[in-house]
Order: sequence, then C-alpha cells, then structure tokens
Amino acid sequence: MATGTHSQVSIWATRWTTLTLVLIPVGIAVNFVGKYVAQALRLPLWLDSIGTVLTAFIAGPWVGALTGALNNIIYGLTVDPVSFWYFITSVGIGLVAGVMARLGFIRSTARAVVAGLVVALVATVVSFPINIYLWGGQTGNVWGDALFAALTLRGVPLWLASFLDELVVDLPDKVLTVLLAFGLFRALPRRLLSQFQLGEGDAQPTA
Amino acid sequence: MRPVGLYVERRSPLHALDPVSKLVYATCFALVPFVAGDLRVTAIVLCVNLSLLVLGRVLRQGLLALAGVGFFLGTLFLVQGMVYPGNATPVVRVGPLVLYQEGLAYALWLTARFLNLTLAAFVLLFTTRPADLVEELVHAGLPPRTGYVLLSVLQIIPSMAARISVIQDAQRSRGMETEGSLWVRLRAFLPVLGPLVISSLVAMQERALALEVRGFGAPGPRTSYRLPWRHRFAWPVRLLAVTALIGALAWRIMR
Amino acid sequence: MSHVIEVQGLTYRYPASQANALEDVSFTVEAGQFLGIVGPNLAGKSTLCYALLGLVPQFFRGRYEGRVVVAGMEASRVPVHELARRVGLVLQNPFTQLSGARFTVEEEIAFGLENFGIPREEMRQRVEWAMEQVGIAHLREKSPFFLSGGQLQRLAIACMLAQRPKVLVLDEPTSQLDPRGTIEVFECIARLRAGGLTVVMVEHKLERLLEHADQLLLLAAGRVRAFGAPDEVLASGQFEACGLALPAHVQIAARFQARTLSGALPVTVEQVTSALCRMRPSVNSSWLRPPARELTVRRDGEESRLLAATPAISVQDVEFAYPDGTGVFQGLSLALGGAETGVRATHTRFVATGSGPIALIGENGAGKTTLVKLIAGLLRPAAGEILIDGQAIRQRTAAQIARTVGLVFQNPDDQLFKSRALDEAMFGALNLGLPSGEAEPRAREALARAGLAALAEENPYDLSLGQRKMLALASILAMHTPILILDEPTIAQDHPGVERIGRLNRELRGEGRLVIVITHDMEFVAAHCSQVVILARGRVLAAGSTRSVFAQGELLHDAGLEPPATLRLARALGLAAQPLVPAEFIEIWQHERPNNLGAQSSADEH
Repeated sequence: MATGTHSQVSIWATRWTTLTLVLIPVGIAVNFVGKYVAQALRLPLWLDSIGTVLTAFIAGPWVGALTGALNNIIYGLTVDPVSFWYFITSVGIGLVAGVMARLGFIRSTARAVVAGLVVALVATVVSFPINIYLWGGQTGNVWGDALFAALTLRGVPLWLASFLDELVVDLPDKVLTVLLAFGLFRALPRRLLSQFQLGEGDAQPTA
Repeated sequence: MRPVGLYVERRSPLHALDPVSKLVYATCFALVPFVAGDLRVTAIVLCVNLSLLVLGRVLRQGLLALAGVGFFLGTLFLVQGMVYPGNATPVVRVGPLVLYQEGLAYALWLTARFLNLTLAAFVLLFTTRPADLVEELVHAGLPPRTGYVLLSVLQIIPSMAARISVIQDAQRSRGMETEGSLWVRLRAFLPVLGPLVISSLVAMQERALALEVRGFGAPGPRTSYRLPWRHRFAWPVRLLAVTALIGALAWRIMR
Repeated sequence: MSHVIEVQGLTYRYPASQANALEDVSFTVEAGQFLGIVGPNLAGKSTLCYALLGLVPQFFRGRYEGRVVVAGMEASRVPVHELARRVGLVLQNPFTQLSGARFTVEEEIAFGLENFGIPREEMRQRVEWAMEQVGIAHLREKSPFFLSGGQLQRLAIACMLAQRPKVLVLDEPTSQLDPRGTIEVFECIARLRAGGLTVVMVEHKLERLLEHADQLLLLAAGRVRAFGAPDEVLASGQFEACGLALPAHVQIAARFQARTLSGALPVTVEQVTSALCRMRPSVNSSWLRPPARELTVRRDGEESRLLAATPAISVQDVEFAYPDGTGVFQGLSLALGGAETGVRATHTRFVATGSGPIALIGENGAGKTTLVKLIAGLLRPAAGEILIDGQAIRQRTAAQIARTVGLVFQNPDDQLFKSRALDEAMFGALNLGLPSGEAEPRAREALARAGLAALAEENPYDLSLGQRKMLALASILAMHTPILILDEPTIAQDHPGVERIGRLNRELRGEGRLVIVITHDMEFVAAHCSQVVILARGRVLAAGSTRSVFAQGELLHDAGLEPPATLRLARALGLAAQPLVPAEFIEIWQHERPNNLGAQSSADEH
C-alpha cells in the first residue's frame, strides 16, 4: 500500500489526526447501516460490526477499539440500552481485527477467513460471561438457545453450554463480517489509505 | 430524514428536564436492582419507571417497544425453567420437558431486572433528543472532540440510510437483482454497501479538510453557542438518583 | 500596493505520487481583487487552493518547495487553524464541507467560532451578520439536510464569513448546482466583493467568471500557462494550447477582432454586443431577413435511415407522485426518439422525435430525474403507460429493463465499488448474464471509448470525479443497450471531457441508439443535441428540435433557464436568425457583411 521507505511500525502504533476523528463516526455509521441493509435484504445475520472491523483495518487496533466502544455507547444511548453492556465485546472485536490486520492477515481471502475465525472466537469469549450474568447463559437466538438447553440437560456445564451457544451465533456472523470488511477494504483507494500510514512521506519544506 | 433514536416529540415535565439529569437518573435506577439483588426492590423501582413514563406521556411508545422482546422473554422462562442449575421442584410438565419452580423464579428475576433496565433507559431515550444529550454532556465536561464524534454519527447515519435506496436503484439499473433466493440477496450486499461505505470514507477526507479550516485543530478553550440547559430540579433529581443507588447498596449489605 | 497573496516558485508532490502536482507556480493577488483560476482537469487547481490554506503541506504532507504568503502569514509554517482566521475555503460538494455535527443553520455557522473560542455574544453578532450577507437569515432554524444546493453553498460561505477572513478561496463552488443556484452564489460573491473581500475562485463556467474576474490564472499540468488581465489571458492563445475552448461569445469576438473602447478583447456578453455594434453602426434592414441558407438539420437519406433504427419511447398519460408528495406528474404525454407513424403533437401531447441526442432540460425539482427513472423502470407510474418500441414496460423488473435502457446516474459514487476500473466496467455486462470471456472485451472497448483505456487497472476512487463519471458511463456502454440516458454527464468535466461526451453521443446516434441527456449546460445542448424537451414543475413546457425550442424565449425563462450565449448575443444585436453555436453566428455575420469594413480577419471560413 504505502510506497517509499518507512521504519518497521509496531502493531499498536496509531496516528491520531483530524482524519482519524472523522473516520470513527463513519465506522460507527457503517455498523448501523450494515445492519440495516442486512435487514432490508432479509439476511439471517446481524452484520452490525462491519464498520468496527473496517476501521480497525484502516487505522489500527486502538482506533478500532474506540470505534467499537463509542458504537455501543451511542446505540445504548439512543436505541437499545442493552448494547451498553456489550461494549467490551465491540472493543475486543476492534482490537483483534486491528491486530490481525497489522500482522498481515488481510493480504488474501484465505487469510481473512482465519482472521474472521479469530475475531469470532474473541467475540464469543468476551460475550458469554455477560450472557451468563444477564440472561443465565442465553443469547436470544433461537438455534443457539435450543442448543444451550439441549446441552445443559445432558449435563454439560453451564459455562460451556453458554460458550457454545454464543459461538454458534457468532461464528457465521463474524466470519462473514470480516470477509465483507475485507472486500470493502480492498476496494479503498491508495490515496486514502496512505493518509493513515505512519512515518510516510513527511514534508521537507525548503528555504 | 429519519433521525436516529427513539425520541418522541411531546411537551411534558420530563421533556423539560435537562438531559444530563435524566441520564444520571436512568443509570442509577437501572443499576439499583443489580446492586440490591432483591426482587421486591426491583418491583418498586419498576413502578417508579412506569409512572415516569406516564408523566412523560410516552408510556404507549415504551410498551410498544417492549413488545419486540416479548418472544425472547418467553424463551427465558422456558429455557431457564428447564435447565437452571438450582432446579429441584417441578411445577409443569410439557411432554418430556419439565419446568421447575426455581428456574421459573430465576427467569422472573432476570426478566424483572431487564425490564427495569430498559424502562429506566426509556425514561431518558423517549424524552430526550440525542443531540441535546451530547451537547449537554459537553457542557458538563465531556471533551468537545468526543462530543463532535458522537454528534456527527447522529447525522451521518440518516444521510447514509437515505442513500441506500438511491444506490439500490443505481445498481438495479446495471442489471443487479435484489429479490430472490438468499444467494441472490447476499450477492447484492456488497454492491449496495460498497459504494455507500467507500464514497463515505473518501468524502470523509474532504470533511476533515473542512474541519481543519473551521479551527477544529485549534488549541485553547472552546466556547458554546447554545446556552446550557437549566432546570430547577436538575440537582435534586441527580441527588435523589444517587441516593437511591447508595440506598440499594446499603439494603444489600444489611440483608 | 499590498499583495494579500504572494506565491513564489511553489512546487509540490503528493505522497505516493509519481509526478508533481504543482510546478514552479508564481503569482500575486492584490487586496480586494478577484482572481479566477481556470484550466483543464487535473491541472492542480484544487491543490493550489489547498496550498493557500496551508493544507498543502500540513494536512497532506508530501514534498513541498517554494513560498506561499497569505494575509502576511507563511502557509507552510503557520498552523492551519491560524491561517483559517484570515482565509476561508469553500469546496465543491455542498454537503461534505459542513461540520456534520450541527442540526440548524445558525449553529452550523457558529461551529467554527466555537472552536476558536469566540465569546457567545460576539458569536451571535457574527452569525447574524454572516446570514444577512449571504441571504439565508430566514433559514436559521432549518436543518442543513433540507437545504437546496445553492442554499448549502451560501451556508458554506456564511460559515467562512463568520470567521471574518480577508481572503475567500472557492474551489468550483457551482459545479454541482443548477443555473439558479449558480446565480445565487455568484451574486452573493459579488456583494461580498463590494465589501472589500479578496476572492480566489476556481471555475469551469467561464462566462460567469469573466463577469467578475480582475485577473485570470490559467493552470495546466501543474504549471502556470498564463496570468494577467482576463482579456490578455484569453487573447494569448494559451487556452487553445491547453485544450480548452474560449467561451462562445469570446470566440465570436476574437474571430472578428472586435474590441472594447480601450482596445481590449471583450470578455462578457455585454461587451461583445457593444463591440460588434460598434463595428456595424448602422443597422442594415437586410439583416432582419432570415439568412438565405437554411441552418436546420438536413433531412436526407442518412437521417431517415437513423430515424427508422432509433428506438421510440412513448410516455402516455403518466401520473406519478412520490409518497411525500413531491415530483408530481399528471397526465404526462411525450414521444421521444424514433418515428412512429401517425404521431403528432397536440396541446397535451409533446413530440420530440428524431434520431437524437435528446436533451432534457429544466431546473432542479422539475422532474427530469423522475421521468428518466420512470422510463428505466425504477419507479412505477400510478396511472398511464410507458412503451418502448411499442411494448409496455409495466411487467418487467428494473433489472430486466436494464437490457434496453442504460441509465447513468449523476453521482458515479452511487455505483462504483470494485477495486479495478475494468471490473467496474464489466459489472453491468456480467449482470446481464454474459460470460466473462465476452464481458471483458466489451468492457475494454467501452473504456477506450470513454478515454480511460490507460486506467483500466486503477482503483476507481483513485481517479478524479470527472474520470469516475466516465467510468460509470463506460460500465453502461458495455451493456450495449439500445437506449442510453445520461444524467448530468458534463458536471465536473473540462472542455476535452465535454467534447468527448458530445462525440460519443454522435457515434451512438450513428449506431442507431437513442441518447437522452439531462443537463444544465446550454452550450452543450446547442452544440450536441438535436431535440430538446423542457420540463418545469412536473409538466412539459416544450418539445421539438433544438432550434425551435430555443426560439421560445419566454418558455425558457419560465423554466428558469437561459439560452446559449451565442443566441443571446444574436438577439441582443437584433438579428432575425437563430444561431446556436459560434460557427453558425460567424457564418451569418460574414454572409451578411455588406461592405468590407476596416478591420477584418484575413483568414476565411473555407
């Protein structure tokens, strides 16, 4: 993406500029809109984290995490109070997506699938304790909860059943989310992405 | 343009109260059941919230909004009734499935907590414009740049949503179908979301430029064009809410 | 004499770019002057605007040499927010340059002042003053979302004014506006100049610019090609060398070496009128006769053949309204394109038959886009029928109709989403079911026709707006549809781009395809379109050949439009003939020349 030489950049480094601040609301809006379009096309998935993931791809893990956090705060303050409690999940998604991107997992579709799996795992791990606290382990998804009930009745421990309940719901959703964000990322122009690169082409005014 | 949020235009004492006080109230009263750990306390707080919704003349909207989660709450009772770890006393048999009293009681507890949480939030959400809330938070000390981020989300979302149908039309006129099998609909996702997202990101650069020229990067204190929202009961309400929360804590400790 | 802007040897390259965007640019602007910056696309005009605000190099980084001093501050060193206290910037897109975080007009204007820490009382005064200056005080409570393009641009100007700049820089502020919006903006700027503001404006609409500019700067490929008084720059020959065209009336003046009283080339329509009148002090009554030679479209075998091949669109008694009540059509009847037997115009039914291209003109909100969406099947009429080649389109979905009607939307960013221009060009063809082995050559051919062959591997969003518009066009071209509808294709195009579109339309006509163009550009209509339909407030005001429609001046005025400059010039001079383009005017003027007057050009037509 970036031409010219630049020093090896740490996974966590971030360039905070006005542009970054403008990126975050767009990322949050993409979360909302992705969900809306999914509903309009009647797809059986949430797809409400595409913006968080894409922001993380563009500007790194911390920006992704901030986008996730603010996303849930806004959602919680305007439409759905419960999403407030899950803001740590969005933060996790943003962090992990950003790290995976910096580690080079968005160079091909196959690698993006791996990134999607990792993100799904992290989202599940962070969410299921909240599920246990709020809902006794359920998720609200019919298939997941049916699985949860069946497993618990067979003696599977609560935490594991809840984990699997959440995984069943999150796996397809997050993998697809990451793939879609990857598709969008690839279509972005170089000019835009280079503005977020660190240590790139600094101005040297003469005289 | 449909604005983001649940705000309902009305004139009521709640609408007149300032946003930050309502936020403090909603936060504290949502947390009371979690802190107190007692179903009776939860019932009391629920009643308070319901009465406030009546006061704000938004009870009907609130109950309508709850209708959506009715199904989920039902499954709570069903599943917890069956699988709650502390189950001992059977109550109902539905074919091979057994529902236990402890599980049902637990589901009742979860439901009560959730309803309270939601209704307390509704007291805020149905009577407050999101933009007003953010503005007042900035007056109260939220960093202006964070306030900017929050406010701009509230504008970007409706404008992006408005473009969706335009983009759908534009892509349909290139032969893309949007009705049909799941696969057809899935294939329409990127052609609709793609132009929307990419052009928004590209336009974002222009917006950042414009912000720079409007002094966004200027150091030093910012002033505010709007007057701060003043209300006689702002501080009493806030104090009351915090007191209730502390009271709930005391209640839990004493039990 | 104080230079409020001084640029010396400015050379700049964007990061990740191979060539310099600006090369050794130097010029000065005095206080209170109006500098017009013109040039082909990708000349570096926007970059220059950014440099005046310090955004180049502070925001964009990259390689920067030279010196830019604005209002006493050096643009590369002084922080942008400091420069912004003295210099304002208004951009092309009316909506994206707003803060995006304010929900009423007056709060939007106050946004910048809040950032600068201006006390509240002073903010209120400045906001009031700024709204008065641009004439939007009556909109103070409105949400920016509901303003028209012209109102939005005036709002953007007000936002800058409130910061009390000494210089206002505007980068193609009217390019996305209709004629009325354009006039609003220019009038607003003229009023501000009267108050002593220095203005720098990049514009393609030369006719308007020339009415206001004190100086012109011609930029091409990053270099200054000419700088000085407008008449000198226009007469220097550099315009043509850069691939641009002089405005129609100036072309005429130049051809006959008309001069103002001070001996300079006249640059406005009024000046050209006076200058030509002076060359012919006595009105010869013979000029009031129509010219001997007919200047109408030749109806020979070629035209008849094309007429038979061109598709015919018939709109019959269509009624339509959007859910919110806007865009209402009632009983609209219109025939376009190929000849149908027995089709005649009546007082309710309008006819614009011919091989095309057909221009659809009218103000914003007249219903032009609504009409083409109805034809393309994206909207369904509440009553009435639309027939293409005699077949009703009612039963077909929009995607099916897309095989027959190709609609190129005004905003290419509503359609582009692929990472390669070639993939974008293939998208439509693939949707029609073509295998990629067939779609790709078609796409390549379409790209070549659109002048984008060299850019097939580029990311669409790395291209300029004008190029993206061409790409959207190429994508529809590759679908080989018999009917092509272009919505405002000339916006954001420079002269070579406009000419390419005109040429393409003629080629398509020659292939028997019907081209319909929605446009505000009357010069384009006059030069490239054979038939015209005027829409106003949901009704057809007139339809027919271009010449016959433009002859009806009151109708044009009623629709909020102006005839092309050449026609206005002819009318101002009292000519009976109706020339639409400079070539016709020149022919008439020469043809009627009674004696050889003093100054005449030696070069002849033939």
